[in-house]
Amino acid sequence: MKSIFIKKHALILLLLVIVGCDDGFSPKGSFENGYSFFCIINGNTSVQKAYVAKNYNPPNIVPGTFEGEKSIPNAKVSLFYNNSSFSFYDSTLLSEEDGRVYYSYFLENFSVSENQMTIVVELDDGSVLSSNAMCTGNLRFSYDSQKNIVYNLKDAYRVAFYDKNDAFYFSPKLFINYEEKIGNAVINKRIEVPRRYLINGNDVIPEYPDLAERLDFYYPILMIENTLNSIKESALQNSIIVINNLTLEVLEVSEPLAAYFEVNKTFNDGFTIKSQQPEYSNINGGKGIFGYKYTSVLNVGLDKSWENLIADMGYLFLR
Amino acid sequence: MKTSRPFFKIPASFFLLIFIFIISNSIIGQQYGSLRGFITDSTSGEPLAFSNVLIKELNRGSSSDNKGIVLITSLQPAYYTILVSYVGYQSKEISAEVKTGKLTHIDIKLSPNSIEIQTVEKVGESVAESNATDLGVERISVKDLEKLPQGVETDIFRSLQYIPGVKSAGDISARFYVRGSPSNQNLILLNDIPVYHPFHALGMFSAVDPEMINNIEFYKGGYTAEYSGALASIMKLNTKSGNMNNISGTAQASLLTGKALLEGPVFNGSFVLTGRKSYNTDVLKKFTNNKNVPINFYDVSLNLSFPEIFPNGNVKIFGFLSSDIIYNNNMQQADFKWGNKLLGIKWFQLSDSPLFFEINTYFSRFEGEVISNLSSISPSKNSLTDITMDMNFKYVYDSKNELDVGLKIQEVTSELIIENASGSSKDISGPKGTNIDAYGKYKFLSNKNIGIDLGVRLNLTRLATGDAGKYFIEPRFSTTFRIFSELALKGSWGIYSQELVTLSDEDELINIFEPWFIIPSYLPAAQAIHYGLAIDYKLSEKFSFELGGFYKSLISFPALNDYKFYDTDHDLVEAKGRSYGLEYSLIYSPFPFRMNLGYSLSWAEKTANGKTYNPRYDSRHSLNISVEYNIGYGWYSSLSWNYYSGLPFTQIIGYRDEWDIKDIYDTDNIYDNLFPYTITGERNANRLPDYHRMDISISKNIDLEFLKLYLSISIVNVYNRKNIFYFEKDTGERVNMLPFFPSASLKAEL
Repeated sequence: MKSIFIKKHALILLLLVIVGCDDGFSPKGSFENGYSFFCIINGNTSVQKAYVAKNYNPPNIVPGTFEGEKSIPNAKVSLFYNNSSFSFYDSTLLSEEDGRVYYSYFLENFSVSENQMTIVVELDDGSVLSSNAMCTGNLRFSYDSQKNIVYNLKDAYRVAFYDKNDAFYFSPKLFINYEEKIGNAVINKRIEVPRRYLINGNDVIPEYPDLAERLDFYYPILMIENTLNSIKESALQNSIIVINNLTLEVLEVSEPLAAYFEVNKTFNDGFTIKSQQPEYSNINGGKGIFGYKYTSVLNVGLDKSWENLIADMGYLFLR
Repeated sequence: MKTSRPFFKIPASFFLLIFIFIISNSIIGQQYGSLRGFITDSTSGEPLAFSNVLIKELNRGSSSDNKGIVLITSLQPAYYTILVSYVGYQSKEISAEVKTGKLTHIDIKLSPNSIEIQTVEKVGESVAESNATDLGVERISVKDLEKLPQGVETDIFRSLQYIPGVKSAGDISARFYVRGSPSNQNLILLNDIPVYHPFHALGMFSAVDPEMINNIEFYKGGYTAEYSGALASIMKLNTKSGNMNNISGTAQASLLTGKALLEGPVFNGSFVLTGRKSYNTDVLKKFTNNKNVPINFYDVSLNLSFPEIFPNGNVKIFGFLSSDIIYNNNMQQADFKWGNKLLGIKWFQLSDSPLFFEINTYFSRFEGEVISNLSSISPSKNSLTDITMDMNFKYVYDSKNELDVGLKIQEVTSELIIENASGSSKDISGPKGTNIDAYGKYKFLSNKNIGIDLGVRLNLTRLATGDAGKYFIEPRFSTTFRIFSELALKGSWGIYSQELVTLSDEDELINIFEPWFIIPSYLPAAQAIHYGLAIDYKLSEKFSFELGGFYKSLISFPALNDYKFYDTDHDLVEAKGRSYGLEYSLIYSPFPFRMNLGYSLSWAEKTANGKTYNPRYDSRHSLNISVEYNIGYGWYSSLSWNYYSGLPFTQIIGYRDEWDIKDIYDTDNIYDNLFPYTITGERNANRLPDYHRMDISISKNIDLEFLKLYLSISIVNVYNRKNIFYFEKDTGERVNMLPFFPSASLKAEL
């Protein structure tokens, strides 16, 4: 009687263990071949780079375990601009990140100013990837943007530009240029002005502008003053600080590149779990991004009204 | 531009016909009298909702409503014997005289059974339900929920998954899906006040502490004209009124929270004060794959009830606060906070005739904020403020027919501000709107075998625009035809709309909170049509089942725009969908056992962003079984088993290099910033393995002279089924839902 009882319960226990077991499920489906292409034409340099890769299929679902080659050599990468054709050449590069060798593509002595460019990638298997990008030249800043900045805490340094082009997004950076002198040695330095500060308990954390669609932007004068004041915190002992001027750098990026940047920014809050990753691509016949960027530079002086303040801070003022 | 549109026009002659019918009803039957009962707990004065009342001489009965009130009209003048029963209480028989043209009011106080002889006394239920138009309605006493295995924390929302057609979002979330609709189409009403984000801890638990609740009414479809504001379901949570006789209280501790309740008489009325706070979030690691969640939450409620301000009336003041904070104490990570604030006053009045009216004014506000600090998460703020006044009147004719009319004036302000790091902010919500809507319905109940509930809801304005003239009509119909005393055929049909929704990302398996807002004017208000048909078979008080089918057409609802890449792109697009299926429920309760079985076979389909697919919550088969066993002497045990067939998921069909532009200024070294991007197949085209889980619990009530103790021990996932939750994309790690997991709680009642 007792043995029947034990057998019965052992059977139930066994059944429960079986149904509770891992089901060996794999989320993988049939592999699909495909290609990615990445290239950003930088209007401020004459050397351009591109990267072509193929889809890959690791034996499990851990992508890091894939040992094969992902980047593709021997592709024909051609850039068409102003009725001319420019060809990229391929080369191998050693990645500092993972120590692997990658095939990369280069185009030298190429610079653009305005208009549209087209890129075409022809692969050995007959696949063709292509895309277009708009390019532009120096921004035309408004007259007020170029005037010396007057010290008035209620005001702000306002920057506006003409010929706003919908095809571009903008990211400004404003730097204070200064010299640090120790004896005869002069070190030229610059410090970026934040747009505002975040307060976290006793910590004050600067926040800088991001990429956005805009016609204008501004920096409160208080931010420039605070940044000036903070220079001495990192200055060497017994050094003399000479304040020169300010430099505004405005990065313009083509709209698809801005969209790609936004979509691929890490939005992970550490808690949200998503079953799908966002994706943006402007490559026909594959995935990836073809874009353009250019940085316009404007030097701006500080008005005489800053003189006393700068002196009070213990700096010299070079006007 | 798209605007709301009426589905169809109802001819004026239809309303004239209804009017003539109503007038004629008031003339019929002046020779009858009526009986009204108010059923309460004898020890606390707490109303006993959904208790059964039977007039023995006539074999005619009814059920009390959520306030413990029952009204029986069309009675010949005579002395009657009234039998009242309620689960867990001793049945009571009383005599009452009904006079011609008069309303006889009786107060009925039932005594709780002692724990030694806790038998189930349930009489007259089938009589009460003979022609009730209640298809798609579940009425649940909280005492029933307490008997089910609870796991970490007693949770009202999780308990609903035993109802066919209701699917839980899994072990990790208290969200639920009703008949193939997304979870943001459910409306949670706490004392008739909407709770817009009724969740704590990333949605793992509901924010409504069951300790404050007296009863639940859950409408999973085909609901009648008095309800509005949701396409899928409405859950009405009615709170306790408080002990009218003595000060008493309970304190309870689980692995996650500590909570307390204090109730008692105050100013010729009563109060209930509840509070709950998380104190140890280590247990949450079971839900989050051992990830630490630095979360703190609490909820507080206060209910004041004044039944003596007006004779035969009751004025209730209710307040509720809930708050969650995730504070990382690290500026490189974002912090989050969200919470609800509710305040309402309700005046319910009976009169000397069979007339009820209720005036309800409330304020409900949800606030959520993402504080980005120095993380790359976009800061955002969301608030939704709802100020509403509604009035509802019910008149019961001598013929037993009922007339209900009501008016609602609602003003909603919503704000959903998304700020990018450059400081430019954008409010993507339709910021403010007023909605005026009215309803009228007539219940034909004079034939004891046929019940018809015919009504219409008229929305005079649209919240997104506040414009008059953008009206739309929502006709509703529900019927019961009792073929035999044991067998009834039930049907329902209705058009429903919803104007407040959340910005939900269907691909998020867990999220912090979903922001609420008014559907913007560039999209139409969300609209759906429900169809329902069922056979209800009740062999005895111990055995009954219901078999039904439903079809739901989601004509329009907002979905996230998958192709939003720029600030100027709309966040939402119009989606459509449909769902249909069969549902079966069975109750068998031979004392000391009680068994519930619910099964549904259903299909759901969604079309959004140019694609048609099965949404993530589309489960083909769903089976839930629960067995409760009253061992006696205060011991109680229960077992539950949930099964649903595999949910849709999207297969991984490979990987490719994706460029992570960490710094837009430095775009030279592409190959140093590559990461694997998962290439997925057709959306939700495949199915995950089936889910199943068994939970058990045993509890003991110890009745000491001055103290009652309730000890409960539960085991979640008894046979440690490895139910898949998701795969980590970077590591390939399979993350399962809750493992085998014992938990306990102790409650002390003074």
